[in-house]
Amino acid sequence: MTAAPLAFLLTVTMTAGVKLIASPDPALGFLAKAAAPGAHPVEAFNARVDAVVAGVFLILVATVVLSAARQCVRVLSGRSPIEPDAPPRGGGAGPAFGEVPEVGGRTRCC
Amino acid sequence: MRAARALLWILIALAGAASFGTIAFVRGEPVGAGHLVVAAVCSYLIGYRFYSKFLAAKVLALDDRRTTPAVRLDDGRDFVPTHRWVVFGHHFAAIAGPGPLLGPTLAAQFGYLPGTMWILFGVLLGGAVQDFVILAISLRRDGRSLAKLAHDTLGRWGAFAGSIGILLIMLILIAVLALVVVNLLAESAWGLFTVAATIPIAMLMGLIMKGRSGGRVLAATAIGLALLAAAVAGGHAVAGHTSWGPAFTVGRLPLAGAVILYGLAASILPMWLLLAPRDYLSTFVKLGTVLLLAVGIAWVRPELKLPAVTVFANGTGPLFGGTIFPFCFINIACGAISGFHALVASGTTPKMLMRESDARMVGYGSMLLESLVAIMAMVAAASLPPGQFFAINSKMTPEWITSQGFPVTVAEMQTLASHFGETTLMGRAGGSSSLAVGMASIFGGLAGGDRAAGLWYHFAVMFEVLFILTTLDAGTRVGRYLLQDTLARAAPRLAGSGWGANVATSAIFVAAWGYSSSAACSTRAGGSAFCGRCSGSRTSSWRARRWPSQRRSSFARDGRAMPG
Repeated sequence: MTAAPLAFLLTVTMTAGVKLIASPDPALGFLAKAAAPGAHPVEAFNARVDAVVAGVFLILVATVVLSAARQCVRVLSGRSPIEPDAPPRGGGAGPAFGEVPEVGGRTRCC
Repeated sequence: MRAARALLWILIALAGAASFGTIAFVRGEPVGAGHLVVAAVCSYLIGYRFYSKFLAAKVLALDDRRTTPAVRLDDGRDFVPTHRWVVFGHHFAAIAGPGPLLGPTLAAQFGYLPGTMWILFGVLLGGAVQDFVILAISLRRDGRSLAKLAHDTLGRWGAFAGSIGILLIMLILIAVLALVVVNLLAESAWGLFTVAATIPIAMLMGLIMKGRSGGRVLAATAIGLALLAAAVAGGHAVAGHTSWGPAFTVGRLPLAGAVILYGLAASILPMWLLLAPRDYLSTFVKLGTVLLLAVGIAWVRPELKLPAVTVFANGTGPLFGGTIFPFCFINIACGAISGFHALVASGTTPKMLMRESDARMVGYGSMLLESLVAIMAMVAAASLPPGQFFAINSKMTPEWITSQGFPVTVAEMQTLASHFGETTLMGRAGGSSSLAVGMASIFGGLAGGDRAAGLWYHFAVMFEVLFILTTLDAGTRVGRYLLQDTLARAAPRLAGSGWGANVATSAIFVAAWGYSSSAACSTRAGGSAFCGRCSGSRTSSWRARRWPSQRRSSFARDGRAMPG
């Protein structure tokens, strides 16, 4: 249920990040701004710092998303267990997080 | 009964669809701002009733038989079972910062339609779902923080990237928040006096409420609200006073220093003395003002003067560079979806809920309320004459703005500024000033008319800064906790709650964001007035630092000091 919004946000964020770093328009791209003729040295330096910070965030976002995807694949393929939830008040095991109880006792992973 | 309920939901759906149709398809004639509010409220009702119920029952399988961390781990300090309405108030106060106010105002550059659609669809399918799901996950995992959850589930690299990302985002967004405050209050004696007065008022309330008896809370509330009203009204007299006026007219750099000192105090002082009463006072002001704005829109019935989609959708806009995709979605974060909320939803809130099922109201519900704030901000921006809107929010000359099809003159802007008791309103980039003008216009139509315009304007400024300072001080404290957690592995002594660790980690964290904000304040072009608070895991906060300084306006070229 949350995959579609995630895909949209990932597209928006990554597109914006890449555009901000690499756009040839000095009004938008950090690197283009730093290299623009007549750029104030301080502003050019700031633009390069911005480009580095933007790049670091893109890498961090990609790392988190890839790690999460890997974990999802491991759980779905049964290679990694779902962490059991805290027990309900009356004892006994409730449905694990992400699992929906169905008629007949089977569970389905979302 | 069942049929009556079904009929009611059909009517709500039809009312929402009719308003959506009006704002999406009517062109060439004025559209009432009420349509935006009706479309929003109907969407929220349907989203909450059906989608959040589906998520609670089928996806998250919330079960009230399962004890919550607040009940199971109750320690009277962090884990405290709390009434769900109090948790709702706390959660809303913590997530609602200036993002929903300023983001939509800036995105109005593209017209009112793209931003409104993103706010509504973003919150229903993304933002509210994220807050709700993170809250439920943390609730099932002993109220653990997002960084800890990442550590437990994502493996070494994912956890490392998550922790570093969270800390960096906190640093950048608080530095940007400090800049917003400085830009709002620099050279504005009325605003500075009013906002400065809220600090001793909050501390007085904290001292009165220390006893925690019901009567004391009521007395503190009454005294606090009365003093707050007096501070707003008294600011005008102070600004006009021959010696007090100049004393409260402070430049950007000294003001940045004062904000940094305030952040340090808020991180170090006990919660009950400064943070808690300020949260409490600002929640009254936040909800009261939003309610008043809703009443004002219903009463004044302003028209949307901004086009549905402007010529600036192609990326030539004066407020910021970039085309409608992806930058409309980057500028509006908090009102639609915000990663910052995940820190709150996995921070204090899951340690307070008494029942799992309450996560739906607190997680999904309070995000819908915040989205409504964003819609109000969009209405306030779109109901201004477009020429004035662009003249306030950009450094471009009136001639350039007029040439783009939005007529405005210098004389018109001077009249506007004196109407609201300001020396100038031109080039006050960042969205906060135009929001104050839009809100004051609606409030003026509600009560007081032209005579009260200045009072309403400064009330709106005080409202914005109160939002921001509450985020800045709470954010600094949360950032200090994060830093303590991170440094604890290398230096276990820093993890304790003693004064030494408290002051040392507070000082490190405040120095980091303080350096960024004061450096930006001292540059010729000034810093950003954009709010990055709720940008969360997204890119808008550091992007925002870029655009004010890269502008090539006549103001920048002739070396004039740029007002906020």
